Amino acid sequence: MSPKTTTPSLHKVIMVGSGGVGKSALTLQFMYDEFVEDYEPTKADSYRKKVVLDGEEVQIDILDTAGQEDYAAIRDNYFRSGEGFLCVFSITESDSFQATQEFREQILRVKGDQSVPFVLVGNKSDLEDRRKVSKEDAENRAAEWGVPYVETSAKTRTNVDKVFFDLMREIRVRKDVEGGDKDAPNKHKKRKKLKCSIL
Amino acid sequence: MSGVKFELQKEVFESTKERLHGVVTVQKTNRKKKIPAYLCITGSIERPIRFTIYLVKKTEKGFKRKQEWTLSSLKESNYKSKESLEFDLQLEKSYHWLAQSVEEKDAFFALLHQICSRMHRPPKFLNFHIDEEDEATRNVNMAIVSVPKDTQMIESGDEEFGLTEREEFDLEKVLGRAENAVVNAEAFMEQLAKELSILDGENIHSIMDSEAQVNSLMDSIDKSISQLEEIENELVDYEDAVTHVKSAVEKIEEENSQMGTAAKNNQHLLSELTNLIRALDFPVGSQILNADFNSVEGIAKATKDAYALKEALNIEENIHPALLKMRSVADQKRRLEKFKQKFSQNLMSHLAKLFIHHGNISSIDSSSTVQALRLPIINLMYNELTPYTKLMGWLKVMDSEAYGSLLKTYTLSIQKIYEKNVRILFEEARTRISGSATTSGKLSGSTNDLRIRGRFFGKTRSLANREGDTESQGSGEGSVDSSERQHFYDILEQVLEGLEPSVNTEEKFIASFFCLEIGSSSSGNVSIVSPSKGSAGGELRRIMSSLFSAIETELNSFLTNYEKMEASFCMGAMVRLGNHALKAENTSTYIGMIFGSVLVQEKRSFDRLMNSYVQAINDSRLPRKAKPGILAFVTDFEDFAVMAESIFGNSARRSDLEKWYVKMLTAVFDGIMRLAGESGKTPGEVIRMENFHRLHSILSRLKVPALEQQKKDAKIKYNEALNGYVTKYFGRPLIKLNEFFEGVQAKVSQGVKESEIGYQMAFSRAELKRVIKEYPAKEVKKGLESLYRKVEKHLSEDENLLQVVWRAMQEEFIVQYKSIESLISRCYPGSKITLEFTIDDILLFFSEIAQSH
Repeated sequence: MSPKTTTPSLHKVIMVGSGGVGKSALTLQFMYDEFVEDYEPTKADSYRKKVVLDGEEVQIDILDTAGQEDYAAIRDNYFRSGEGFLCVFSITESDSFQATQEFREQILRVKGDQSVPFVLVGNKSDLEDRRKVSKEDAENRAAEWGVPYVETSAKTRTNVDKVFFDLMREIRVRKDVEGGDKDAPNKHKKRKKLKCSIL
Repeated sequence: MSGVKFELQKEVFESTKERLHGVVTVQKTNRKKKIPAYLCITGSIERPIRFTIYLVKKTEKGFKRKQEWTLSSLKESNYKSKESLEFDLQLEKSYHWLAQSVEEKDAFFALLHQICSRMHRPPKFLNFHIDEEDEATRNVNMAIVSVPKDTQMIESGDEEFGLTEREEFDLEKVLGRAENAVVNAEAFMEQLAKELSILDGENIHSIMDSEAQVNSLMDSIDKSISQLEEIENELVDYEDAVTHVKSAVEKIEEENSQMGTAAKNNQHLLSELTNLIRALDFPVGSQILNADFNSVEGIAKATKDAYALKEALNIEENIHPALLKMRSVADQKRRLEKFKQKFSQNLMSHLAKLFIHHGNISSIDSSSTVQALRLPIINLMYNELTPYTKLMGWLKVMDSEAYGSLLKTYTLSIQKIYEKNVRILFEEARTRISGSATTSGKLSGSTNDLRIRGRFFGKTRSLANREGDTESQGSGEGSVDSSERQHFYDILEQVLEGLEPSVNTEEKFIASFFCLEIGSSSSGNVSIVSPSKGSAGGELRRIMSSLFSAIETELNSFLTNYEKMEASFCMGAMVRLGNHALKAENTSTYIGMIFGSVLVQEKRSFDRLMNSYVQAINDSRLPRKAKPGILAFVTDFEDFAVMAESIFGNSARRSDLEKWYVKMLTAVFDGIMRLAGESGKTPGEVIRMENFHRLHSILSRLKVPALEQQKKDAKIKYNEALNGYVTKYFGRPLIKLNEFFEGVQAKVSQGVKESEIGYQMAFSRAELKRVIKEYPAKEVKKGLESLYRKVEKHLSEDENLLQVVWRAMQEEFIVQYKSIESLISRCYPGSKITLEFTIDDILLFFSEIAQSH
C-alpha cells in the first residue's frame, strides 16, 4: 500500500486533431464512461487515470488539446511533453483527415523522432452513412507513416479503450527500448545530466 | 283521406286546440313539382268558435303549417267547373289550387259553403251550385264534421233562422205521414173515437172473467198462512233444544283449552329440564381427571373434554337465571368447578414439566449455533407443544392464574437457551473475524483502538508531516484493508441472518401457543419504536424481550467493539441493519424492532463519524513543503467516496450518505479556499486550481446525481483559479511595457484622445522608445524562460497542469502583444515606433522553450 515503493509507471498521451472531431468526447468516454452531446471547444485539459495494462497497474495522463490554435507554435510545448499521440480525425470530414498530415509533421519535428508512439484514429464510426473518408485512404496513410489505424466511436464506445491501450503498449515498448526502466520521468532527467557531464 | 285527416288533427291541430273540419289535398297550379299540401278548415274548440284556413305541408319531419288565414278574410271562391280539379280562393290575394280529386274538391266546397252560409257577410261562391245531391252530401258531411246545430258563429252572431235541418226533416216526415189530417180532420177524429169505445168494452169483459180466479187465489193464501204457523211452532221447539246444546259445547271448549295449557306447560318443563341436564351433564368427569397427555390422541380427547367442561361451566349463558338457584344446579356447578381446577392443575404441571425439560435438553445443543453461525430453532419443542395449543387457549380463558404461571415458567426455561446461544453466536462471530484477520493482524482482538479511529481524515494530520515521518506509515498499517472490511460485513450479515429465523419462529410460536396478539400497527415504524416500550401487543413483546434481551445488548457491544477499531464499520452495519429491518418478514416483528433500534445507534455513530471527518477537514493545515499539491483531504474524500459507494450502493440508507456528501464537500470547498489563502510560497491560485481540478475529476468519476451542482462548482472554481493565475503571472516578462500601456489605457478611458497621448509628459514618444528599448528580443526570451521555470516550480506533479497553464500563458502573451501593438499604432501613428520583437520572434521563443525541456 505504501505509495513510495510501487509508483505506477506514467504514460503521457496527447490528443491531437482538428476542431470538432471528438477528441474530448473520446477522452471523456475513456475517463468517465460518458458521452457528452453538446460541443464546447476545448482549450487544453488534463486528465489522469489509473488503469491495469496487461496486468500491471499504470497511470495514464491525457492532455486533451484545442483543435484550433491561432499559432501552431503554441502546440510545440505540449507536443514536446507527450510520449504518445492519438491523432484524431472525423470520418465524416475530409478536411479533418487532411489536417492529420500537418499534425504528424509538427509532432515529428518537435519530437525529432520518426517512430514516436502514434495512432491514427478515425472517429465517429457510428455515422457510417455520412462517411467522407474511406477506410482505404486512411489505412494507406497509416501504412505510409508506419502507424496503426483504428476507427472509433466515442458515442457507442467502440474501440475507445482499444486506442488508449494500444497507444500505451507502444509507449511502454518504446520506454523499454530506451531505458528498460519503469521509473521513466526521473531517469530521464538523470540521463540528460549524465550526457551533459560527458559532453 | 281520413287517415291524413286524423294525422293532421293529431299532429298539427291538437296543440293549438283546434278541430279539423275539412281538408283538401292540393297543389299550386303554377308549380311543376308535385309538392302535396293540405288546405284545412278548422274551428277552435273553445267558444266562440273561430274558423281558420291553413295551408299545411308535409315535410320529412312531419306536418308544417305554411300559411293561415281567418275565414272572414275569404272574399271570393271560384269552383271553376265540375270537370276541372282547379279552384281559386280570394284571400288577401288570389290563390289558385289544383285539388287531387273532384270528390275532395266538392266536399271541401260543400263544407266551405255550409260554414260560410252562416256568416254575416258570406263570401261569393262562383260556379258553385248546391243541388239535391249536394244537400245530402252536406248532411253526411255535417255528421262527419259534427258541426253543432246550434253553433253560434262569430261571423253570423246576429243571424236568425226558423227551423234547423233536423226539425225540418222531422216535420217533413210527420207531414208526409199525416197528409190526410190536413185534408180531412173530422173523419179522422170520428175514426179515433170509434176505436176508443171498442177498446173500453174489451177491457170490462176481461175484468169480469177474472173473479173466479181471484177467489181460488184467496183460498190458497189462507192455507199458506196456517201452514206457516205450524212451522213456526216447530221452530220454537228446535230453538229450545239447541240452547241446551250450546251451553254444553261451551263447557267442553273451556275444558279443552285448560288441558292444552297443562300439556304445553309440561312440555316446557320437560325441555327446560332436558336443557339443564344436558348443560350440566358432564359424563366424562372422571376421565378428564385422568387425562393422558402423553399421546396425541390423549391430548385431543382431553382438549375435547376440556371444551365440553367449559361449555358446562358457562351454563349461565344458556339457562334461565332462576334455575341457577336450584340446589342441584349449584351442586353440579361446584362439582364441575372442582373438575376444572383439578384438570387445569394437571395440565399446568404437565406443561411446566415439559417446558423445564425442553429448557434443559435444548440448552445442551449449541454446536449448530457455532457451526452455522445461526441461532437454533427449537423445533423439537415446538412440535411437542403445538398439540396443546387449544388447551392453552382453554387455560387462558378458564384459569388465567395457571396460564400466567405457565407463561412465567416457559419464559424462564427457554430464556436460558436463547441467552446462552446468543452469547455463543456472537463469540463465534468474533472468533471468525479475528481468526481470519490474524494473518494481517489488524482486527485480532485488542488492537490499539484510537490509532485507527477516523482512518480517512485522520490521515490528513499525518500527511501534513509526511516528509521523513514514519507515523503515517504506521497509521496506514493500522487501518483495515478492503478485504478485511468485506469479511467483517460478511460475518455481520451472517449473524443478522442467523438471528432472524429463530427469533421470528419463536415469536410466531408464542403468539399462537399462548394466544397472544402479534404486534399491532404501532410497531410498524421499525426505526423509531424501541422494543422495550412497545405498548400494543405488549404481552407478546414483553415475553419476547425477556427471552431475547441478550440480542440487543450483544449486537450493540459487538458493533461498538469493532467500530472502536475501525469507525467506518458503522457505515456497512447501518446499510445491512437497514436492509434487514426493512425486510417484509421482519416488519412489526420483534427482531425487526431490535434491528431498528440498533440501526438508530448505528446511524448516530455514522453521523458522529461523518462529523469527525468534516471536523478533520476544517482543522486541516497546509503541509510544510514547497508544493502543497493535492491536499490530503481531497484525496481522502475520493478514498472515502469510493469505499462509501461500495458499501451503500443503492441501499435504502443512501440518502443518509448523500446528505453527508454534500456537507463534506462544503467543508472540502471551504478547506481548499481557506488553505489557498494561507499559502506562502505557492500562489493560492495554484492550490485552488490543482485541487478543484482534482475534485472535479473525482466527482466526474463518482457520478452521483445529487452532487451534480458541486461538480459544476468545482469546474467553475478551477477555471477561475486558472484564469487568475495566468493573468497574475503572464505580465511578468514585459512588466514595464505593461505598466506603460496600462497608463495609456487609463488616460484613454479618462477621455484623452488616442492621437494626443503622445503629447502627455509621461507617455511621450521618447518615453515609449525608452521603455521599448528595455525589451529587446533577447530580454523577452529570458523573461519567458524564467516565467516557464516559475510556473514549473509552482505546479505540483500531482495534477499535471503545466501544459494546460503554459498553453494559456502563451495565448495570453500573444493577446497582450497584439494589444500593445494596436495601441502603439493608434496612439503614436506615423511614429514608426515598433516593439523590438515580432510575433514570429515570440513563436520562435515558444518553440525554443519547448525544445529545451
